[in-house]
Formats: sequence, C-alpha cells, structure tokens
Amino acid sequence: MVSRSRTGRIASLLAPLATAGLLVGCVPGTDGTGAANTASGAVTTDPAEMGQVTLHVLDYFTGGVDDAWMKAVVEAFEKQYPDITVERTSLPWSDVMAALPLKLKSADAPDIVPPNPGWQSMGTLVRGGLVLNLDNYAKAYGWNEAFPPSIVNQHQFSTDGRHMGTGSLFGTPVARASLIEVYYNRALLQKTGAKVPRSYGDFQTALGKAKAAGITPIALGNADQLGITAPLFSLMNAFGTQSAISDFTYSHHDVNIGRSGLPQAVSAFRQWSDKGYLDKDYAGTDAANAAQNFVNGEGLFHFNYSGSLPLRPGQSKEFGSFVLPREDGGAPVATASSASNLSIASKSKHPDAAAAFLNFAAGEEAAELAVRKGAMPLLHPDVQAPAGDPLLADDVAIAQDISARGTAVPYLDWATPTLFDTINTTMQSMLAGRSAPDAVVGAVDENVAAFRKSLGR
Amino acid sequence: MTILNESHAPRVGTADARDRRPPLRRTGRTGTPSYRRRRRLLGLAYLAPALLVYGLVVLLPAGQGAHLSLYHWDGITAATWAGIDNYTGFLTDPTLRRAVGHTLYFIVFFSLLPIVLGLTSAALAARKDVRGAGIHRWFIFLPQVLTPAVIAVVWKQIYAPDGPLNAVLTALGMDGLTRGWLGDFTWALPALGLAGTWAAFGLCMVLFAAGMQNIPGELYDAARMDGAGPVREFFSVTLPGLRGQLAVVLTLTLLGAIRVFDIVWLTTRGGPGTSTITPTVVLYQRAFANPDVGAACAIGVVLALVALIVSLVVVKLSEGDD
Repeated sequence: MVSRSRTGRIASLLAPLATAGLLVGCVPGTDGTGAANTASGAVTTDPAEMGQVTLHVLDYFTGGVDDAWMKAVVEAFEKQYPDITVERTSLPWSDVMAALPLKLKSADAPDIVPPNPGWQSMGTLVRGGLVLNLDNYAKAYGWNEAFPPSIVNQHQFSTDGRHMGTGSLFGTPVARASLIEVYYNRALLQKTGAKVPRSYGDFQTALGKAKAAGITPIALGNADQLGITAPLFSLMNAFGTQSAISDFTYSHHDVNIGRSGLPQAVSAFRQWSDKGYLDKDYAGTDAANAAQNFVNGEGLFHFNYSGSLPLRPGQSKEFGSFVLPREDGGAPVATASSASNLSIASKSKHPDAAAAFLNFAAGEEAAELAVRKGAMPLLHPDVQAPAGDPLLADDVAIAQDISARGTAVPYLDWATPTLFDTINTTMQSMLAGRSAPDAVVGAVDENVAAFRKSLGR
Repeated sequence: MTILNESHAPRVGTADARDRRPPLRRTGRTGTPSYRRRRRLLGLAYLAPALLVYGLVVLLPAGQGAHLSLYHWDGITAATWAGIDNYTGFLTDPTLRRAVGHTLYFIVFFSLLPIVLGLTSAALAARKDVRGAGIHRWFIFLPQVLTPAVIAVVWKQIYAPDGPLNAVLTALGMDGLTRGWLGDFTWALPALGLAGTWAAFGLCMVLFAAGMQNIPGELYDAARMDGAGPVREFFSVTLPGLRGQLAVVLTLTLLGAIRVFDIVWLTTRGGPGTSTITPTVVLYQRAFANPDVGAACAIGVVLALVALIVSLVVVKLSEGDD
C-alpha cells in the first residue's frame, strides 16, 4: 500500500504536467497555421510546368458507384497527365468532416480535400485559412463561366469568411450530382392507376390513391434522424421560390423565413402524417432500412438523394424518378449540389497539379464516366444516358433540366453549423404531435438569426 | 506496464536484501534517512515510465481540455475568452439539462437494476447446487464479451417495428402495444435503458457469485442455527460479505451510466427529438459536428469531475466501518 504522504508526493510531481496542459498555447487557434490562403499570382495550367507530382486526395467515395466513378476519374486523369500520380484515401462522410480541421493543419496535409459546403465544414475552414482561394485558377480555367451560377455560389465564401454564397471560389463542383428527388415504384404506380405526377396536385392525388389501395404512399424512415431532410427540402422547393430559398440559406438580403417555403412545407408534411401517407413505422425505422423497404416494393414513393437506393443489378428497371413539382406549376426547383465539393489545402505544395485535377473532375469526360457507372451527371447537359436503364435515364433528364435552367438550390442545413440537428429534433417532435408546425419554423429562424449574430453581421 | 514491473520484481528483492543487511546489525533503528530516501527514489524510478506515460496521455490532455473549456473555439480560428460561459450551459441550455436528466434516469437502468438483478440471481444460484448453473452464468455473462456496437445493433433489431419484440407481442394478442420502440418519445429512453441493464447484469452477477463463494459456510450454518430464513440470511450474511464487490460493481456501473454514448449514438442519435440525448452525445456533437470545442470540453471536464467524485464517495462508503 502506498502511504498517503507518498501519494501526495507523486501528485505534486504530476500536477505541473496537468498545469502545463492549461498553459500550452495561450489562446487556442492562434498558432498561425495557414495564414496565407490565396494562391500566388502566377498559376499554371500547363502540365509540363508541374513536374513529377504525387497528389494526395482525401474523399468520402468509399464504395459502390461513388468509388467506381472516382477510380475511373483518377485513371483517366493519370492517363492525360502522365507525370501526376493520384493517391486516394477514402473515409466515411462523417469521419472526413470530423477529421478535416486536424488533417489540414498537420504537416502532411492532403492536397485535395472534400469539405461539405455550408457553415458546418467549409465555412470554418475558410475562416481559418485552411483551404486555398481558387479565384486565380477559376480565371485560368474559366470555371465561373462554365458552371451554372446556382452551382458556383455553393462553393463561394467572402475572403473574410463572413458571407457564404458570394465572393471567392474556395472549392469546385465535380461532374456528378447529389440531388434530392422522388423515386417511384413503376408497378405500384400502375396498380394505383395514377400517372407520373406532373403537378403538385397530381402528386397529392397519387398519394391518396395509394392510401386507398392499401399501398404505403411514402416509404420513410427517421429513427436515426437521417430521413426527414429529403422530403422536407423537396416540399420547400415546391412552395418557396428559388431565389428566396437560396437567399435564406446564404443569409443574403434579409429574406423573411415566410418566403422560403419552409412554413408551408412543414404544414404539408404534417398533413401527410395526419392523412396516413407516411410509412406507419417511419419513426422507428432508420433511413437505410426505409430505402431497403422501398426497393423491396413496400411503398409507392420515396424521397432520397440521387444514387442512394440499394439496388441490385437489373433492379433499376422497376423504379423511376422525378423532382417534386412546384405548387404554382412553375419549373421544378431541386435541392442539388455536386456530389462532392473539392478544395485545395492551403498547405499543398502542388496547387497547380491539384487545380488540374479539380478541373478534370468537373470536366465532360468525368460526366461521361458518371453515366457510364450509373450515376447522375452534373454541369454537362449534353451527356446522354446509356440505353436500357430507365431510372438512370430519368436521373440524367433531371440533371439536364436543372443544369440547363440553373434551378438548383442549396441545402437549407448549410445555413448554420447546428441547423441540421435543429431541423431533425424539432421535426420529430412536430410529427409526433408534441408541437405545432410553427415551432419548427420558429426554431429554424432563431437558429439562423443566432448564427448570423455570431458572425458579427 | 505490469509485465515490465513483474520482470523487475526479483531485482527489487535482491537490492532490498543487500540494503537491509547493515540496519539489521544496528538493532533499534529501521534505517538511516539516506537509505530511506534512496528507497523512495528507487520506487519512484520504477514508477517513472508508467507515471510519464500517464502524465502525457491523461494529465496533459486533461489540463488542455480544462483550458479549452474556458474559450469559445471552433477548432480552427482564433478562440475568444469565454470565462465560465461554457459551464453555465449546464444551467441554461435546455438540451444539456435534458441530457443530465437522462443520465440520472440511466443510473437506474445501468447501475441500480443490474445490481439488484445480479444480487438476486447470484443469491438464488448460490443457495443450492443448481444443475447447469455454469451454463446459466455463461449466458448471463455473454453481453460482457460483446462490444457495445454489437449490443446496439442487436437491440436496434429487437426494437425494430418488424422486430422480435413486436412479433412476441403480436403472438400474445397484444397488437395494440406494438410500436417502433426507438422512435417513440415515451418508450425510447426506457428501451435503451433496458438494453443497458441487460449488458451490465452479467458482470454484476458473476462478481457477486464469485464473492459469495468466499463467504465462509460457517456463517450460514450459524445463521441457520439462529433460525434465520433465506431472506434474513441474505441480508445478515451475504450482503455484508459482498461489500467489496458491491463497491467495485457500483463504481463500474455508475461510471458506465455517466458515460453512455455508443448505444444511443448507434440507435437514435439522441432522438426522437432530444428524448434520449446524453451529455456524451452533446459532447460529441459539439466537438465534431458543430465545432464548439470549448463547450464540448466543459462537458468533458464536468463529466470527469462527477465521475471522480462518484468513485471517491463509493470507495469511502465501502471502507466506512472497517
């Protein structure tokens, strides 16, 4: 047994260590990492001037179509730029987002990283100067002219990191879309006697017909808080205008939340719930299982991101997709972005080569590779879907429409670092009948206002 | 570290023996001051590697955490001084207050219930030589060898809308009671609590059963001679004899209840609403999802202090009358 005096002595020896921890780096975050985040004036797009380079790329394309597309893009890129080797590290999405600040500060930071647009990830990295301002590359490659403005905005921040959706380019889209759409089961749609909805009214009618026929109208699962945003944002797009939704998300022009379509969307969601249009077990089912149930034929419609159905080969014939039609009959607006934002680390020693990769991943060949691997393309409306895959044909048509009309809106939860949690917890309460739809809208408004204040605006 | 110390043990013995010889000749003295100092230094020298590692991986980060908890920091840009702002969140932030309330709730399910069940089960199994007691113990201990992630997946399946629990209820004709348990505002918390009870129950029972085997049989014989029934026997002989085990089990399970994270994060993420949120889930969200590192550190510091106090109190109580 160690005597008390000795324990005391050992403690007195160790206490300074704990105290040392208190004093290390007097104010956290002032160690001056990545202070310079603007590419020096001279940039080159000429591969001959880049030399022998190995690019380290961090991505979240860990499997399935994601991985297949990224592999194909890397292969095609290396063929075109024989002196550049690309080494990928793939991690699950949430791991990437959690690890990015530390990875970008470390001495061996990856050259290319995939921070999510919005204030959760990219905004903080821009404010900390950890990702490169790409304006010079945008000029050299003509990105701002080549991409639709609604997509370019998603990768922009002001250089002081206080405004989103405007200012300088801190990342680029890739030629593959991540878009919220409505999937439908072709056989069940026929059984209900409905047609593919062309108007919001059609959609409501189809829901009613399915319910009457004993078919689950909407396959949904939200036990893990991952199933609500897809239908909610679709409804917002049906009620709000494109500019109001974008401005509200980016906090431009003091848009009143009433114009964003959110209040009507939340109420409509509540009505779906009240009318029994949602899978009766949605609260206890998680999102992945709901998608599986839909693929198994248990549900007429299912809201999800493009490319998210767990389809077996050949199964895609059974399903189709569309964007929820607008309530006022206007052109459909879709919550859509690039499948990944790609940014260049401020610490990268090969920004020219990295920019060449970004340009390639947003290029036409990358879009061609997307459809060839069965994924929804972006940025290149001319890309055609291969024959024999009606679901992909629907997806490609949606992408063409959204790219051509420029009717993409950003994801609402980008607006603040905590909005995703706020939306999910308040929506769960509202759908369980524990609060009114107003409570959701009020909580979102409050969350956005508080964050704007914290930015000093 | 243990291996290192053991391999050095014989050398300690010989060094001691050599040093002890001179004082043996000078009877009446237990050793010169210089000898004692040397002995103490030698002890510290042996402890040094362990202390150094402990200091670097535990104390230093703990100090850093406490330091960070005094700032508003997003993990990247320059932090701003917060004073005790992050700590007052425990009083003002409704989410955090709910989370603390859930911890108290979980103490019942993760600590008190398993202890009561473990005691009962061990007492029943110990009274008579029950056939198959070994297998019984093995089954109940099984959750201890499963990783928490596996436990979460298993219980998620059990509570699923088309899972076994609802199937049993339907088979018994109680269709009205079936529901998606983890998506229900009323039932999600007790459902997760019961999963925790199941996970901790086995450890309690095995420790108590082991402790009971060390209680001298004469005590029971004496109690029976005095006319004690099984209940009296339990409270007068068994329970006092298990004080040591009780302290161990209380410490382990109380700390487990304070730290609940994996099963919540892997099933409900704190939902529906915030009905299953725990302080550790809030900590994780603030540290990694919505970077508010200072607030996350404040939660960590408070949890560490509470855990420390809880274990000190339990140890003090268990040593009480000795």
